Order: sequence, then C-alpha cells, then structure tokens
Amino acid sequence: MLFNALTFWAFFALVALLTFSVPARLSRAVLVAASFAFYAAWNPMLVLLLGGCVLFNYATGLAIGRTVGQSARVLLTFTVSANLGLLGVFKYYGFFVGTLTGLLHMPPDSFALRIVLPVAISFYTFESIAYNVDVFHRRLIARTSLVDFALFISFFPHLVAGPIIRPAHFFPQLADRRLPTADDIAWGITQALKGLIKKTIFADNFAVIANIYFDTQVGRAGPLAAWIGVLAFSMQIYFDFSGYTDIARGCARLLGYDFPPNFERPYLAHDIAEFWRRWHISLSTWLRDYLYIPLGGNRHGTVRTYANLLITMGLGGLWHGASWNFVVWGLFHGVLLALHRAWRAWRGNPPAGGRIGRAASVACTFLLVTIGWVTFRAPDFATTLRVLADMFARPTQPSGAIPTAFITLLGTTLLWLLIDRDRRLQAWLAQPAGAWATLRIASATALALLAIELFARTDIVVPFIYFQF
Amino acid sequence: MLRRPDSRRWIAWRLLAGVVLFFALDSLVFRSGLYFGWVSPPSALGSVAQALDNIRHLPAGRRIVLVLGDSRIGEGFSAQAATAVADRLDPSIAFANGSVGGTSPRVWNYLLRDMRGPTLPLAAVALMVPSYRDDEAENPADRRYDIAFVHPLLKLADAVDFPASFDDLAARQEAAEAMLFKGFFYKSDVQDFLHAPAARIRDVRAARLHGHEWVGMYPGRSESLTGITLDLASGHLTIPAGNAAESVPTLAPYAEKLSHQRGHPPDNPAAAAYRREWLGRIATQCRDAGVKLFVFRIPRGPLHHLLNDETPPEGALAELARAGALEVLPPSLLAPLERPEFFFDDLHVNAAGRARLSAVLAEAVLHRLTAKD
Repeated sequence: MLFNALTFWAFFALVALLTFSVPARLSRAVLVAASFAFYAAWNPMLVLLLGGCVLFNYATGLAIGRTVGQSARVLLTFTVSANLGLLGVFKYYGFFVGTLTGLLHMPPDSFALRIVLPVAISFYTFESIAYNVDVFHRRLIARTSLVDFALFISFFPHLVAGPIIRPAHFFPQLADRRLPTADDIAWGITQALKGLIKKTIFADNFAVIANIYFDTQVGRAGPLAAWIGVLAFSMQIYFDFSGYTDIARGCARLLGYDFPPNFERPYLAHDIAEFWRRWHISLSTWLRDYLYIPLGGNRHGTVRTYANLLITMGLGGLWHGASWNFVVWGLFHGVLLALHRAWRAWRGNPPAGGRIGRAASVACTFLLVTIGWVTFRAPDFATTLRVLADMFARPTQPSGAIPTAFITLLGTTLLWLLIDRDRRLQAWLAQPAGAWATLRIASATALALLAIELFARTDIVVPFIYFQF
Repeated sequence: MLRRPDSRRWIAWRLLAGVVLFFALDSLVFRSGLYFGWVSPPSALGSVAQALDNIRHLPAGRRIVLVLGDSRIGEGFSAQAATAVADRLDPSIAFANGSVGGTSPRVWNYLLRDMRGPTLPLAAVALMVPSYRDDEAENPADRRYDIAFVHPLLKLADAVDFPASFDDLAARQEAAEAMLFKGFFYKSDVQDFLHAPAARIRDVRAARLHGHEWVGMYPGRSESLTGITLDLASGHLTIPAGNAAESVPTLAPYAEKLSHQRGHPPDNPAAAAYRREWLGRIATQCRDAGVKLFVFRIPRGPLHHLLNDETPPEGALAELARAGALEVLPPSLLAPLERPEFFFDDLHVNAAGRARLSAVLAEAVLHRLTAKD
C-alpha cells in the first residue's frame, strides 16, 4: 500500500474516522491494529516478525528499566545484539555470505538461503535499539503499556521509511491525547499534498530520465547523458524521500501526532557538514547519538575522531542496503566530512563571504553530493566506475541536445522552490479568513490536484527508494 | 483585523471549495469534450475521435448502414466500395465504417450510442464477430484497455454500470476512476500535447479537415501471403523465401494453434456471458432505433480454408438470433476469403480481401434490407 495510491488514502480516511470516533483509551489500539494491517498489506507473514520485535523489545525495555549496574549493561548488550542480529540475518546474510564465498572462491550459492527482506526492518530495529539504550541511560522510563510501545514502533506513517522516531520525542505525545487543531489539519493536509506532488510529479518524472541512463546507456553515452542521468537521480532521491517524509509527517499530524523534520533543504547546504544536518536528519542524529558518540566522538584525539567519523558514515552507508556500494557511498561522505573538519581545524571558520561565495559553496557541496549518488544508484562497482568514466570523459562526438523533459523538469523544480521559498506553502491553508484568501486557497488546491492528475507518473510503478532500506 | 481560520469548519470549507473547483476544471476541460477534440490523431483516443468524425461526414439524404468492428474492419472494409454497391442496388443507402482498432463489443456499444445520437438516419448496423462460437480464451469482461477507448464516451449515468461490467476488482476500480477523474486518462496525451503544442494543433486540424477523406480513400495493404502452406496434421508451416509472411511473427503461433485446435478452441462461459451482455445491449439499441442488427464472421485467418468448417452459430450468438435480437449472416458468406492471397498477416485482409469483403458484405446486407422492406 503505497502512499501515492488511492487505496492508501481510503485506508487513511477509514483509520482517521475510527481513531476519532472511539474513546481515547481505544484510539491507540486502533492505530496499532491499523499499523499492523498496513504492514500486512506488504506481506502478511512478516507481521509475525514485526509483532515479535515489538514484544521482544517491550520486554527487554521493562527488564532493563528494572535492572541496574552490570546486569543492565549485559541485558542491553544482549538486546542490541539481538536487534542487530535480526537485521543481520534478514538484511545482510546474503551480503556477508556473498562476500565470503567471493573471497574464498567458492560457488556463489554455497550458503545461499532464500530470505525475504522484510520492508522497514532497518527502521524499526533502529527505533528499538534507541528505545532500549535510552531506557538504560535513564533518559526514559520503560513503557508499561504494550499498546503505547507497539504504537511507537509500528505507527504506520513512519513504519516503512521513517523518519526514525525517537522515544523521547514520541512518548510525551501520548500523555494526553488531543484532537488535531485547525492548524494541525491545515498543516497536515498541506504537508501531505506537498509530499504527493514531490513524489508523483517531481521524483517519478526525474526517475524516468535517470533510469534511461542507468539502465540502458551506461558506458555507451557521452558525458552529457551521464551528467543528466546522475543529476536526475540526485533530484529523484531528494524529492522521493523528502516527499515520503512530508506525507508521513502530514498524516501523523492529521492523526494528532508530531514527527520531527527529516529534510531541511539539503541541497542548499554550504558545506558537507551542514548537508548532513539537513539530509535524513533522523538517521544522521541517530548515528551521532547511538554510534558516533558511544564510539568516543571527538573526545579521544584527532585520529580517533576521524576514525569514528569514517566508521559511523561507513556503517551508515551499509544501513542503506546490503552492498559494498552503499559502504563506499558512506565512506565517501565520511572522507568529505573528515576533510571538511580538517580544513576547519587548519583554517578556522570561513569568512561570511558574499553572495557569489555562498552560491559557489552551495554549488560545490551539491556537486560533491551528486557525484556521491553515483555509487548509491549504480548496482555494482563496475557500473559505478563506468558512470564516473562517462561523466568525466572528453566528448568524442557531438553531445546532442539536452532532453526537453529534463529542462522542463528543472524549470518546474525552480518554480516550485520559488513558490515554496521560506516554506510559504506550509502556512497557506491557514491564511487569514476572508473570501479572497478562500478563493486563493481553493484555486491552489484545485491546481495542485489537477497537476497530480495530469503529471503524476501513474503509468509506471516507481516505489519509494527508501522502502528497500 | 483579519480573523484566523481557527475553526476546522474554515479548513473544511476551503478544501471543499478546492475539490469542487478541481472537479469543475476537470469537467470543463475533459468531461465537456473540449480536450477530446484535440487528442493526438494517431493514438487510440485519436482513432475513436476519427471514427466519430467519419460519421459527421456521411452523404446527406441517405440512410446509413454502420459497420462496427476492430482493426479487422478498419483494414477489411471500405465504406466507399460498399456504398458503390449500394449505388447500384439501393441508392437510398450508404455505408459507414465505424471501426476502431483494438476494440471489442463493449466499446462498440458505447461507440454506437454516441454515433447514433438523435440524428443519424440509421438503416442497419452490421457487426463483426471473430467467431460464431463463444471460444475466446481470455475473459473479455476484464479487458482493461476498453477503458482507454470508452472513457470519453461515458456519461454520468454510466457511473455504476460501466465499472460493474468488469469482473476483476482492480479493473472495476480503474473504470470507476475513469468516471471520476477524467483528466487522469488523458494524462499521456496532455503531456504529449505540451511537449509539442504547435505540431499537435497542426495534426489535429489536418485530421479534422481531411481525416475522413484519408479513411475513405484507404485502399488497403498490397502485401499478400500467397504461397504459404500448412500441414494441419503436423502443424508444419511452409513460407516460401521472399514471402511477405517472413516478416509476420504472429503467423507461426496462429498456424500452431490452428493445427492444434483444428479451428475449435474450447468454449468459455465467461466469453459467452460477455457476448450475451454486450451483443445484447447493442441489439437493444438497434431495436430502440428501429433498425436491424446483422452479425457477420470476419475472415478468421489466411489458413482457415484448410478446415472446411462452416458450422452454424452456437452459444450466446445463437440464443440472441433465436430471440430475434439480431440476424446472423451465413458462415459461408466470407469463408472464401480465408485464404493466404487475401491476407497480409494472420488477422487482417489485404487490399484484394478488402475489396471482396466490402462488396460481399454490402450485397448481403442490402439484399436482406430490401427483402425486409
């Protein structure tokens, strides 16, 4: 059940209706049941895995909360290992076995098992780990309500592709159940509509252009086609993932819950460190809090700091998928972050700079991030190298024209950014009352729906990229 | 001072206004038929538009025999040639080709409704069927691409009826979406239009001006499969070197199926129900218009003459004929055309076949109409 399908919105309307028509104490149970039904729509059998994960972490949370000292640490170690083990078996078994058999020159299917990758497993195991760690550090009291805990893990708007919800952000919202206010409704609907436009119009149309290059032209096209393909993927992944997040946050708000922001215009970052403060924020802060800082962060000297950065980003890359390509992508960003840190240590903070200087730093950061996406999108190293060779090859023949569809999409993207500058769209539905405002809002809504109707790529299936993680 | 829209009612009103405005725009552009007049002429929708346009250019003062069918009628029937026969036998009658490639009886029902309108002076409707038995392998009720042809012809009264005509739930949902979101089904055409608006406007204007002439003057394809042979027992197909059949990839599967099933694929209850429904509806329309409905079997393929099989209609078609809803033309009528020299592929007759088919069909229909009068 994809967020961009009519069936999802029928499901959502039904859930909202049920949630608000039952007594407060039942509404969370309704949401949990709905979330499991939502998950079952992918694969009914995997509901058992999700249910088992909920029960296990609920129990370990209670146990860790009631234990102190070394016993608590042992329990935590066991819990974290079990969660990582679950992730390892379901997501990385094939990867590790493949790597091992490759190293030992054994037949590739020597230890092969047919394991289905459960959708969302990366997200709910990380949330479970965060919960247990927070309970261990007494930043959180273990939840005694199984329903509350199940809702934290399985709440359907964030279940399959985040944002990764932190317990300290979510549980306080359960203290008093409130109906969404008019502002919540206005914000939620706008956010969901924005997300739908980002996904179905921008991401999916960029996907078509990116796929043409990556699926059929790698190694055979010139630099222009390669740059167009890579740039198109760069735009696709941003609009796809941030669109998903917008829909998730909008739906949650419409049900009376708040999810943290996950994207803050990352392609406008001035440097790579800022990029990671703006891109997939819930993952980067999770990695910072539960991996980088426990590794020692920057507290153990320069070498350890750089090593910790590389380890964190390398594992962060691996989190995205069971492939060395993702590890390389993470390490590439780790190296960029390390270089940025070293530069800052050597030269200090850069001067404020003029508009041109700022624009140049934004462009430079965007370019590096975009080059990094090559290894993220390519299926293997060989393809990665061929794409990079295409991009930096000297043109040997006339490059041909830039596809009209790409120019149109880029133009529309710029127009979109202009319309939504300073996040104006977030507040448009809550404009002051009056006939003129109502007319403007009604017109904008109608045009948004018409745009989705006419330009959304419903003729092809482009799954949300982060569903595979 | 302006008030904040702090009540949910305000939000609801604004959204409702937006949704109403959206449907109003959608209706204005797409439901009204405004955009339908600008669809790409070579597209599926364009062929529907062309078929409807052909009807607007029929000779005045004559009653019309409307021939409906798919691409086999598009290739195989010339209204001009048939009307030439009518000029000789009954000059009060003219023939019209209402065929659209890739369509089926469900689409023909809506096409007929639209073409018939209040003014078309119909004399009769002649409908092709690929077989006189209910032997279609797939369930034709779930043919989703019917939606692409039919959606511009649907009215609000079809809101329940049309989606319900599909058996599959997903197909029903898609059909319901076609009723609700009209623009949704023009999506690719709109994008194509925006990609090259000047070329589209030029093409549509040319099709409006000359499309009916192009259709009318189409002579048919000159290629022929003369020389191909099939050993029915072994299924071995022989194609002489340099024969046009070499470039027809569907010929071998056709020959294999013919050899395997000997022209008698098993009957399919779903196909029978579908025919009962949609041929029945077309028959009802004809009855309401006070005109006769003739059904004829289109030449089935270039090697069907090997079967020497002219069994009478069975199943749904026979039931409808017995009930007086339609008249089935004899299977022997077009059987002589089921030979390689009259085909350019496994389905469609060539120019020679087109000339023969048009003349034979026109004579058969006119003969029956005159006898009836």
